[in-house]
Amino acid sequence: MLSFYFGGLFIFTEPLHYVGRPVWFLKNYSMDAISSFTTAIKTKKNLTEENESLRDELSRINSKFLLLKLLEKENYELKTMLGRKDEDQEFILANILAKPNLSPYDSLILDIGKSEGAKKGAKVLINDNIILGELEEVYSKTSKVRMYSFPSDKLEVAVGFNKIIGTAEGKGGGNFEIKFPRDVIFEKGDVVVLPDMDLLILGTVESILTTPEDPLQTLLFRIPINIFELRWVQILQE
Amino acid sequence: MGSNSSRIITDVVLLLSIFVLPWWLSLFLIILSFYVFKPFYEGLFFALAIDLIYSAPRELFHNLPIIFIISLTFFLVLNLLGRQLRGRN
Repeated sequence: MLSFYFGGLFIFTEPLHYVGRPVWFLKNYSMDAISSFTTAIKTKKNLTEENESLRDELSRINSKFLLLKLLEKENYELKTMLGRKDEDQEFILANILAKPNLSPYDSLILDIGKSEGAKKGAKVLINDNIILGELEEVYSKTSKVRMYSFPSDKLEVAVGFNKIIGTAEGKGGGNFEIKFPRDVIFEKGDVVVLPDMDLLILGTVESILTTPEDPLQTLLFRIPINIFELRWVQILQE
Repeated sequence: MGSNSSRIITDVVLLLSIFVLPWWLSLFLIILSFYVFKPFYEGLFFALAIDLIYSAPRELFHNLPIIFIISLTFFLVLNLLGRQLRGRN
């Protein structure tokens, strides 16, 4: 009964978001200013070391990226041959106003809404190919994202190169858990995708837990990006 | 500083906290305010606001406003139970 009455109160969400919008903007702006200030007072030596390590990382990523481009092209050509050509995807860029640590519901609040063309149910991505969740509520200037990783939420996923299908359970904060029989071989770093959208990465396997008495193995996987450091996401336009 | 002005300052701090602080810290501040100001009805409004701003229907919480329910429990315990205990003494 209480949940019925609570449902009716959601008409106040939009005005509350309207009040919160400038506060969230101000908070994000001041966090950026503090971050710039701490960077500015770092010693020159620290910055040089960080610069060198970032250059190394960038060159490693660049070589992997070239390979990825090649595989992407090959994948596209194979799909075209099989008549499964992907449509060009369009995105709307959105600023994150509130991250999951502000909410007990593992949700994000974005600064775009109906006026920018956001629609309920649209997929929310990072870096074109990492999927976070979908738009659950869209207001005129803001929208609420339901992350797939909410504790106890269930989701069909495909794991590894062989795309073995299973049901993952959310653990909050971008973490998931999934169980498979022990004789199925998985490795750390295996990619987890959504079965119907195999180019969208949900996470990578972080650890595999087995116990002698349990016939199942437990795979723990997480979104390959720290969601608490995220500033922007993309909304996939259907 | 009078009780009224400290209550207004608390209201402003709590209102800002629901937009900038983690939910558990806001909840702690609300419960603390229940203890300091009796009865602190605004606390229930702030708790409900957290649920309305961030919540989405979740099976785990049976679609209930979980922060509001926790706050209401503390509100009732600190006000009604506290009053009854004082009445006995």
